[in-house]
Amino acid sequence: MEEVALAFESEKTCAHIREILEGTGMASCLLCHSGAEVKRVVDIQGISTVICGCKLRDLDAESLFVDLPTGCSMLVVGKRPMLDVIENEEIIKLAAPASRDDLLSAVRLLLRGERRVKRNAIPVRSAEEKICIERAKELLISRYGMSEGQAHRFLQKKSMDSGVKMLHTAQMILEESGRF
Amino acid sequence: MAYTKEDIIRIVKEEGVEFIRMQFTDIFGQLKNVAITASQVEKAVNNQIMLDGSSIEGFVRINESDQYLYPDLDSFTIFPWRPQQGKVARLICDIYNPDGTPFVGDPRGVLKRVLEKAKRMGYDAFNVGPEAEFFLFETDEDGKPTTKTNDEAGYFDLGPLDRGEGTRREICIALEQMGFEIEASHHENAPGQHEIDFKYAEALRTADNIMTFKLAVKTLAQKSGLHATFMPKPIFGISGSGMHTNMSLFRDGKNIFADPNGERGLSKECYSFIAGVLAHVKGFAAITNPLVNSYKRLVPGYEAPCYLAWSASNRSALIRIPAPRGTSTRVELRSPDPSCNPYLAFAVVLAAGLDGIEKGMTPPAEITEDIYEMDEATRKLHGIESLPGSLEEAIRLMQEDQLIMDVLGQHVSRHYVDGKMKEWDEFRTRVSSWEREKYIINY
Repeated sequence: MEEVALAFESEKTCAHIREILEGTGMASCLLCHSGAEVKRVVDIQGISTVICGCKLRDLDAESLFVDLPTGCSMLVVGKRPMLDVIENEEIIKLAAPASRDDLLSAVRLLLRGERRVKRNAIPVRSAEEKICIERAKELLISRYGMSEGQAHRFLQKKSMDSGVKMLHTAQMILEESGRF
Repeated sequence: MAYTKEDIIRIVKEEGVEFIRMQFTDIFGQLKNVAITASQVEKAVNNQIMLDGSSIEGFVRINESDQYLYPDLDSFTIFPWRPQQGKVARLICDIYNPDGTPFVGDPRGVLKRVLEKAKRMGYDAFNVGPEAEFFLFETDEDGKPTTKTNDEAGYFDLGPLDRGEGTRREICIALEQMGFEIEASHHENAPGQHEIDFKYAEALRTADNIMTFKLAVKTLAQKSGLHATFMPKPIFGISGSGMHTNMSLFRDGKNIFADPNGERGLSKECYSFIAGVLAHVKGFAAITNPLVNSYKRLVPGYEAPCYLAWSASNRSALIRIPAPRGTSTRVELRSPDPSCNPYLAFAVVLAAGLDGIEKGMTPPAEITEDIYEMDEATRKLHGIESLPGSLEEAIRLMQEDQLIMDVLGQHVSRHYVDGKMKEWDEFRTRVSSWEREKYIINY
């Protein structure tokens, strides 16, 4: 099971998300009480996925993300107005209240992004490529509140970080939603 | 690296630097800065950035507060740990008065004046190599430092015992990106304690490097979720953090401390330098060991020096002569701690050494036995005195040492003494947990 670092100001939110992720066997969670603790856990235990609120007791999510090593992924769960303040396009945002399925889908997206690094790219035809990529962008716009430009850059960055074609990143995103 | 004004203006534009920190150090060794946007870079390199000196402790009064920042262009560097979009650069500055004269309260200027004296005596370089130790502690939920290290390592240990290895590596990488030559990086004696040594350089550059080093260590520790402290003795019962300082004087490119025909391969000038440092070490302790807490480190049992003695072999002596000779011959002063203002520390130590040379002083006999094993009577017999036992004693001894007071100058010495006596008074009037534990039941 993958390990993720969980950090929310509210212990109740932390416990609830942990219950969902561990209960479904998706990930095992390390609970952190501060941004500094997240950084320590990432550094010492090599965790590369962080799920947190918009604001922790000692710093905000965006500042925390800047200090994490390259290759770390972050999902921020919070109220829409606070998510809108986050400018960093590499951070995945999930508006609360979110359904259990939306949460699992978002976490799957984060975790799958890492596993894809280990697989080889498979070439496809360009017409299918375009449609697939457009569908993935639509999903990112509707589910995670990204703009078209943000969705495009998200796909680009994930592809570059994983060393695979943009098509495969798009396929992965669509697999999560079952729209493939 | 040597930069011209045009180089800096061009680099700022080409590299997309958005902010420039005009850095300087106050008399208590705290790094300060005035941050300007890149659009002001031409003003900056032409000495036109001003600061309100009245807001800096120990600088000027309200009615004479306009001062100017004159950057040392060679100190220009871009911080590697800031986001690479919107980079931040820095320039280390001297403080000047509106009339174009150097501000007498600027610690960098204090060191420059002593270096000029050394030049007049024929020495073209005073090289200094520091060995600064520090602790890495975890923070609590509110981001405040604790004394928890979660680290079980000791001297020279490696990971996984050494939990700070990753942070030390990040610090070394960042420093190298800024032009430092890192000579050593290792876990130190106490849990959570680390040391990073960088190559010696001419004293002014080394003092600049120490300020940069402390900034880098604290910043990168924070990025790893830790708190770095240069506090000399944060925990009772384990080793404290020192800043052993290796020094050598050069004339015409030759190390004047070395003499292959001299006793122990050392020159008469070297012995006189040692004698001068020993003669004034009690007088400058308030500068090299500036905190109330500094004197908690200078106690027997933890390899920190307590007694005025020198040795070519004894590692616990106040002054040690490391084994290398020839161009690498150096004198190591082991009392300074890393909380000191390095500009003032190097100024007073150099002045003391030069005083020894000018007066042809001779040091006392080398002590090869373990001084800690000696009782007080034996130490008295050998003429071995002790370092000050408190900040208050150190300040009093500083005021009695005219050389040290003259080196600092009236402005710095007055403000330094005032500030330190306030610090001592705050400590003196506080009730400590030790007192409560000791007295609250029995009295």
